[in-house]
Amino acid sequence: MKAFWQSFWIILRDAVIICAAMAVAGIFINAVRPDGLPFIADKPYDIFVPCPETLGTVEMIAPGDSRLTDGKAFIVDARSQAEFDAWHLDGAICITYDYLEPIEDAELKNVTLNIVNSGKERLIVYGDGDGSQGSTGYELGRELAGRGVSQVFIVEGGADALKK
Amino acid sequence: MTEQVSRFEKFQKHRAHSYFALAARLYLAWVFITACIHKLMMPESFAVDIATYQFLPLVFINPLAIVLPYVELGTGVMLATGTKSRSAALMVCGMMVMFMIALTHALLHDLSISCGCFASNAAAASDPISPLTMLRDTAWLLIAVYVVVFDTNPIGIDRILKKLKGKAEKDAQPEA
Repeated sequence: MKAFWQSFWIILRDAVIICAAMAVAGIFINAVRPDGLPFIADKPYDIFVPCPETLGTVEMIAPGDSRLTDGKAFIVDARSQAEFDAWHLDGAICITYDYLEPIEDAELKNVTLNIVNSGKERLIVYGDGDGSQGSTGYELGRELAGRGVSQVFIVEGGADALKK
Repeated sequence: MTEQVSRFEKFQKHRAHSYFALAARLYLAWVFITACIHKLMMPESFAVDIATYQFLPLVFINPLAIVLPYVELGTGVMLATGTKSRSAALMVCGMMVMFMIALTHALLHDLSISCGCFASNAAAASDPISPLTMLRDTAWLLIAVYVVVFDTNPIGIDRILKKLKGKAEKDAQPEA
């Protein structure tokens, strides 16, 4: 083992010398090449880092599906408070989704925690429109799914279909 | 203990290691030479890749972008030709540790970027960093460690020079 360490120090010394030689060669070649970089950047680089995807995936559920009424679903109404007050599904809570005013991060985190701690098996969201992409229920469902909530379902046809 | 030591040394000097290490060296050489090409061709693009990690202060970005590709090229050539191959493998270990620290930083900060190892971020948007990138770098680090520890008689230029030197010394000795 002693022999190994003796040879290791020689290897390390050689590595440092070679590394330094390569660095000097690199600096020299950079200095003579026409498109060489300045040794110290004079202004910060414009970097582009795409935002991580925060939206999760959701599944569609029919308005007459028994999973809506079996008591194992946490139900969220994505419409406005006024629409919620006028009519809502039994047991639903109102989390208004507005395209122009996104839900604050802290509030979304709080809602996610409530859903996770409720002990329910699934999250069902309904809202305006037909429940397809672009409707309030669909968009809110994807945001919550992106927060780590699994088993997220969107009601096809939204609140109108449920009323029928 | 002495027996254990000698057993290790006996194992370390086994002839088969030269052949396994040759395969490992050629693979690492291919990795490093391939990796340095775009960095040598487009130093500015590589500097942007380094900046994208948001890890180093501005003053260190260009010096690293200038020096690293040549160190990678030199390392690759030395590994391939068997010139100071254990030192080259040790340099690979150092670079791998450095890359893994930068990767860990990027992963912890949820940076959705490409590693910039084989192509610039702009050209490799479909190769984002992930724990798999870390696993790949760990594998390369282990291969390099194997070469450092076991390639005691590397096949290549060093072995040829050693043989020639031995022959010259033998020829220089007066005949008894």
